[in-house]
Amino acid sequence: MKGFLFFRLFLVQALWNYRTLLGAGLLWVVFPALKEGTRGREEAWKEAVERHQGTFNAHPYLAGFAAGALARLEADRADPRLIQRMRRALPGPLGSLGDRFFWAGWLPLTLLLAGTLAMVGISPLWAAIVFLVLYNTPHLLVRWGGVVSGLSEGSQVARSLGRYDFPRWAERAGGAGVLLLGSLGGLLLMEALGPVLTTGRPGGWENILALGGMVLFGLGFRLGRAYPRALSTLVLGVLAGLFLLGILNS
Amino acid sequence: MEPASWILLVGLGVWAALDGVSAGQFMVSRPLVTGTLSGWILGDPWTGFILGFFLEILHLPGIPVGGVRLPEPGPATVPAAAAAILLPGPGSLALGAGLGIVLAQVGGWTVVAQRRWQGALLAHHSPFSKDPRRLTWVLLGALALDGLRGLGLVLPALGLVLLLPPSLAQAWPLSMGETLALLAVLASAPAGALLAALPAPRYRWALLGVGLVMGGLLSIWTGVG
Repeated sequence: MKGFLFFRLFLVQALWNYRTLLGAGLLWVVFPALKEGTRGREEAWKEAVERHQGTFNAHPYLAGFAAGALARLEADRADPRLIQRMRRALPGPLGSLGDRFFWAGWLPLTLLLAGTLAMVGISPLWAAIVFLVLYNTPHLLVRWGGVVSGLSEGSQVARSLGRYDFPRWAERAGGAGVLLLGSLGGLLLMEALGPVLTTGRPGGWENILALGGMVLFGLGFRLGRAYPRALSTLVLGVLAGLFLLGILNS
Repeated sequence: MEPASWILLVGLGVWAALDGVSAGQFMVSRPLVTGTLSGWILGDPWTGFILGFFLEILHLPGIPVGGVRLPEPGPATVPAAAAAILLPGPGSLALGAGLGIVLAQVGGWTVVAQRRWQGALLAHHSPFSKDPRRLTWVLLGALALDGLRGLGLVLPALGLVLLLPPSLAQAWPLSMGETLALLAVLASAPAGALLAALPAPRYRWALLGVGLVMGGLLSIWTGVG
């Protein structure tokens, strides 16, 4: 059952939609468990399927905790009201903990590390491989660990979720990400200001660009998250403007 | 472009479209990976990496929380990298970046459309309790649709790249050094937004300062810059 749930979890988001969110995908993941738990009882199987048709949401990597716990409860023939309560209680923590650690912390950290490695001379292909291996190690461990914890602890799965201590790891990953973001900035600033620092002579357009970069960085920090589309529009506008200038001058 | 390269690029684009949400989420769909792999397929991984990393920084502050609607930069980076590599001069990099931004937005719209369609399909087929086996067929159909969505994004965009006149890229007024510097400056704004998005402790500015010094020292040590 562990293997079934684990491999099916890789497709848990295939049916993501605005009506049931992850609900239909999770139903498909626990489907063999429902069938196994109600073997030979056609009506009980259909009732179990009915119970799992509602809205559900979670971070995809942490959905294993829910899938394991719900499979265990169905196998134990737990009270359907308890199963419904679990389905309602799990989405909040499984969503916020996973989003904060994986999307906001670990993903930027590993990508920034790959970018820094390539900038200091590692082959870009190796940098991409390092990113994929590093990123997916906790990804796969958490997916597997979630299934195992859910199956072994059932309705008490929140206890094992707490043992992972995702908030602390998210903050650590975020802190390391800030360090790497600074390192990339330092590398780029040295690229722009290196000649000025080594010769002592005032630079030209590189200094203006470096200053512009710092101003944009501050603006992005203040406004970037509130107006995410503005960033792409700004870049697109500058590139299109320069192309137009080039076409008019040629 | 060799037919084998064409097939590999289309395959990579489809894989990236599937990996982004539906299947696996191993992050092969990140622009840094698709850009580098596209570059490798076309014989220039560095250009692919530079373009991929630029598009990565641009889209990284957007966190896919719940049903938030975001651009889809992974598959978009494949034709963007092809434009940056196959067209002549430094203008190709700028053209690739612009193409990547536009295609990522289009990709995001198609993801929203597919999610709406899947919601309607599930409403039509529910309740599955009547015949639960139907759910597997609906899931396989959704996966096939997502793959076709990737194909529909990448294939025409690659065709467009082949049709673009080289004179368009040659009209770009900046040199390669200036273009790279401009892209670095333009990436500063999303990098600032990323700093705000990282779940860092309260002393994030101090950490950023330490990072800047580390970057400077790394630059001296490795001879970069």
